[in-house]
Amino acid sequence: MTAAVSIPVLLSNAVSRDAGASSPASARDRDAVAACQRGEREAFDALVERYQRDVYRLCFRYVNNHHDASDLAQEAFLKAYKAIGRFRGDSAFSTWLYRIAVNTCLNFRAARKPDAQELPDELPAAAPRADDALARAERSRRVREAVARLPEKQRATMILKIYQDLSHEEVAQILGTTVGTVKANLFHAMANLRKLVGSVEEAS
Amino acid sequence: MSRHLSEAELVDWVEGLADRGAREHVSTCGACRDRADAYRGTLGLAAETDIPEPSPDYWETFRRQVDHRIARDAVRPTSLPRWLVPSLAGLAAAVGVAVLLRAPLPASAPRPVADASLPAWSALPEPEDVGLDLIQALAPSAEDAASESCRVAYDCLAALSDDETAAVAETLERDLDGRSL
Repeated sequence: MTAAVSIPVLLSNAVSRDAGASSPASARDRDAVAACQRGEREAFDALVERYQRDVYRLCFRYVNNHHDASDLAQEAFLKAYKAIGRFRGDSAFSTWLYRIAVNTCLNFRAARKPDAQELPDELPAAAPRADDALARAERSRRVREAVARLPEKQRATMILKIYQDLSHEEVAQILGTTVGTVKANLFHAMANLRKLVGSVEEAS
Repeated sequence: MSRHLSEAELVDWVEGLADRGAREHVSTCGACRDRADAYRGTLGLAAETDIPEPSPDYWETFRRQVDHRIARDAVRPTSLPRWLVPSLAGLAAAVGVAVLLRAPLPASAPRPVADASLPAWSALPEPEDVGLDLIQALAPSAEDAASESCRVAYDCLAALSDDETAAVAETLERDLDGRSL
């Protein structure tokens, strides 16, 4: 994991919005972060417990396998712990943490596949399945694979918006771009996804 | 609206956030409606795609592994850029020497007072002064003198004479190798 990806927003705290600052979850996060900054390491355990599932799922969407997703999610938490002294609360902790996770995944992918920006040909046709549940599982697998083949910005936008259920504004914060660009990338991501999984729809 | 909707406007339309002009356009424009419907259909397909869920026991293992990696790396939260640490070591050495030369320092030197009015979510004061840690690590015999009036490295710097300040500047310039603080 040595390649650097030029994502301009990691740890920049460039965004001034304090998303959801008044919610109980945000208050708990603030308390835990403040405790971490005082050197209370056990406070970080609470943050890990609160966000481990979300971070793992985000990483899984990028790499599409449990082993790498687990490793990347752990690395993201490790980076967050190392950098938490510099976190000033200009954005929600979760936004900051997702930003670290996205950058960790991008660096991982860049190290493995430097030409990941190119959209590949359509996925091979799915084998027909008699059982509905198996057919759904197969379709899910193919959609996941298609998501993993999208250009980086489109994939990041799609994962954060659809699977992490973030707002356009939060996605823009994490990716260091504008809301308009987020919407355009999302639209293009769906168009490319449609091409990649078109054979699934035809088969079903 | 006479023109076709942009991608962002189509996303807004699907999410029910489009303005009146955009809504009226889509109601009469087959091309825009087709694009929006295609977008919405793929969005639905993507949204219903789940990922394999790890076993419930996995998360406890996950937390232990994170904890282990933190312990293995022996890290602690830091607010200093990495490149500054070697420079601080040089600064600390110079300040440590200066403290030894000047001890005992005047007891009237002002000490930093924690600002009790700081809101919980402002930039918090550093729990430790890294510069002072370095001073004490590099010049343990200066610890007593430092504890009297040099609670933080900045206080030690403020107490230096002109010659000592020049020595510190020279050390910094050498260690920074042309970079600026």
